[in-house]
Amino acid sequence: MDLLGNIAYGFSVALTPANLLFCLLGVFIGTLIGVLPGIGPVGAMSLLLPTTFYISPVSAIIMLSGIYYGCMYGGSTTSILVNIPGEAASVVTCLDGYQMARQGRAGPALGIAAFGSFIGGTISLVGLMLVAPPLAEAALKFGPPEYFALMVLGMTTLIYLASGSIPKALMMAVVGIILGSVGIDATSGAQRFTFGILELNDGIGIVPLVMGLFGISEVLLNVEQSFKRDIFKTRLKGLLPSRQDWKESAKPITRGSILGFFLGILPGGGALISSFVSYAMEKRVSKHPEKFGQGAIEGVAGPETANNSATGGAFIPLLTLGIPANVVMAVLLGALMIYGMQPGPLLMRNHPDLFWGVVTSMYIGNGMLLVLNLPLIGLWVQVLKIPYRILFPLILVFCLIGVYSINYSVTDVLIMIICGILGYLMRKFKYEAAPLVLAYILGPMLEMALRQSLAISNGSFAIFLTRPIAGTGIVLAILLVLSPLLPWMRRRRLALGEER
Amino acid sequence: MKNRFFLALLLTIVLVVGSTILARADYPERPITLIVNYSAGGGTDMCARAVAKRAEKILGQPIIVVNKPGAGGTIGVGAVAAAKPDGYTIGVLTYTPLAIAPHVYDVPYNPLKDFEYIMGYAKYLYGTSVRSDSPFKTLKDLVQYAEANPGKIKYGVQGLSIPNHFAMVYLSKMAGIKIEPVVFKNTMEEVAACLGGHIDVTNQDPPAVVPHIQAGKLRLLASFSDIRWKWVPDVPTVKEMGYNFYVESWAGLGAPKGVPKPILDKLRDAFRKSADSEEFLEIIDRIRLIAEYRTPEQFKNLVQVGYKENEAMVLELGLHKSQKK
Repeated sequence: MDLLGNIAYGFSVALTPANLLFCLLGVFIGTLIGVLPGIGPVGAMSLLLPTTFYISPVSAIIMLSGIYYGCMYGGSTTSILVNIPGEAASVVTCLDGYQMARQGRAGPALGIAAFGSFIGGTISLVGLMLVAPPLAEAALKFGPPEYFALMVLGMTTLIYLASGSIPKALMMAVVGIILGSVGIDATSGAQRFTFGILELNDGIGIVPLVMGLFGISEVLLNVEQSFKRDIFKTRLKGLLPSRQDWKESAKPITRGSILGFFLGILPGGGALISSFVSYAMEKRVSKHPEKFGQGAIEGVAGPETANNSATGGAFIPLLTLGIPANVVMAVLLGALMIYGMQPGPLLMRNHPDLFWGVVTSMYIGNGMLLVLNLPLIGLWVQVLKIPYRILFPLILVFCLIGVYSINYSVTDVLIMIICGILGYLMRKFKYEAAPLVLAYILGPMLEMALRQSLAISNGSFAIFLTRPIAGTGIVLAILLVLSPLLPWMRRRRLALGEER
Repeated sequence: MKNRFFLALLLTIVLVVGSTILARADYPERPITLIVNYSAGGGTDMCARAVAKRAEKILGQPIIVVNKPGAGGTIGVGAVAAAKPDGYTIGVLTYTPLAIAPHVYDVPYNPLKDFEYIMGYAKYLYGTSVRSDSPFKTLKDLVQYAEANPGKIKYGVQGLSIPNHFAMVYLSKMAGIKIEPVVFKNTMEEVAACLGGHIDVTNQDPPAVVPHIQAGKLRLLASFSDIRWKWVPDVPTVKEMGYNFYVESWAGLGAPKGVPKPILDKLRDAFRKSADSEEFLEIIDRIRLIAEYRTPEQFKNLVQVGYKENEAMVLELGLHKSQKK
């Protein structure tokens, strides 16, 4: 079958009333889950998995996929409104999205996040249909040394996440690396910084960490300022992005789409990393990097597009190779097995209804999400009018329930509270949380990749330079670090340092 | 006066004992909680949900599955040990947190003393695979190459002190070869690294590798279990090839120590029937585990024997908790 025939066939599957309904149900639940802090797509999908045994496998996968990308849409909402990332991939959206909301521009921020998500999602779907098999094979070329190079490159973006003092940002990065190393070290089996607490064997969870650092600390900070609060009293300036907003966002959305798609294909948290990298990239190429962190719409448009584009990319290794690129995909893989489908290279051939049905349903789902989310913006913005004394206790309750619901673990709740206090102090003393979170995510991956690579090479560091992809990455990272020394780069670097 | 007191005492005793007997006869009169020690959606979880589904029909009360994942399955097992022994909290007991993990780090339970075993119901299989274009056609090829090139072969494991890791250690000991582990964060990353040719060997279970074997991307060289893999029946076990070992791992059910015998019997009976049901067998086959029933005694024995054997292994590898300080 040719591509057009396949697509037509896919739509014939996806457009049946039952599948349309499950698609709608999926994206609706996804949006809801995304908005609620704490519970993420993995939890929601695995809880719903047993209930899907009674519907057809194609409908079930359509619904479960809907939850996943719906969640990426919804996750930005709380980031923008109240500085609490609805899910991990929306952490960076807090940086500028929340600032926009404080300036009365919550509507445009939410709007550009929705449109960006739609565009990113759609572009990655086109990519998914056109180039899935060869790209999936290419992703396998990424072994430990290549990941190491990628992580090194990722670490160099740290500097762009800081909008204040660079030394402080580096200090926070070190704290992040330490927090990331808590738990059992897989390579040696040693317990690091666990203090004999069994729950810490798996490390500090990302959800309690970011909800504490961003959300709880925000509440604490506002409680303190409750008497002089007038930030949100500024009139809400429009509900949708203006023409100027669109002009500023067009390029970030394009870049975010492409970046997210490629990073999403790689196994290991593509959506999360792509949002950080996109933010750093936008700040790097921006003509006014000083506006980042103060409510630059590019800082919302890029990352939100990238994390949605990554969801499309993430389906590629699963559907073509049977290798899940992240935990969400692993849940889907489990679902496929339960339905008696063979996840793996033969899936596309043996179950074309599943492959093309699910892929085309994502087009429909993305459209539904846009229709679902745009009218909601008006409603969400109203949330900001709720008095703080009512809003903040509610936020606290949602955070507590959300974090507890992940593993039913009190330890997670305590971690969140401690991170909340830490985050509060950090803000008081003008230390930023974003570099900490990035280092916390990348640090352990970097370490793992380094040790795997050295195990493979019998301890020779040459492995990072002799392999073409890894070598290119390392050279690029070195150039980025050295770039301030080059005269033509120097000016921009100074501009970065002088912010605020 | 004295008589009255004794009468009252007698009455109280009759009432209390009577009511507990009645209660036992009525068990279960409210929903039962089943703690699963791994995340929802994984093999162990799906298997546990399948076995619970049938049992709740037999017991006449809903069984609520609660996932308490973390620390290699020990957190969920710890939660079972700490629960009230009234028969309303039971849990999945898997082999690694019972028979291996207590040697590696401190866990909040004693696997030999803190549980009432209900049954063993599923067996995990292990084996070693290579990429299909690998020069190693059989396990013998691999061993010969490793003999000539010590330390050259890199195999993947998704953590230390797990059956997959032990299997490779046994193999290298018995064949007298030197092969090196590369530790991955999880199954999928390890399989991807093997498919990409970054490591020579992957030691994953049937759910992770059978699809790739059937698609012609991977080749199974040997089963590390006591039986061959039924999806790849031509490939022998290591034992058949002259290496006298096999590794095993199980999923079973248990309750906290001290659950009254009548309640325990009821649970054992219900779950035995459930583990034999068509519904359960179908699910377990799809997720590529092996359905095998073990009586409470057999399962307990399995844990006890494994606990002893693995202690020696963990000590030898220098991974024992006493060696870390």
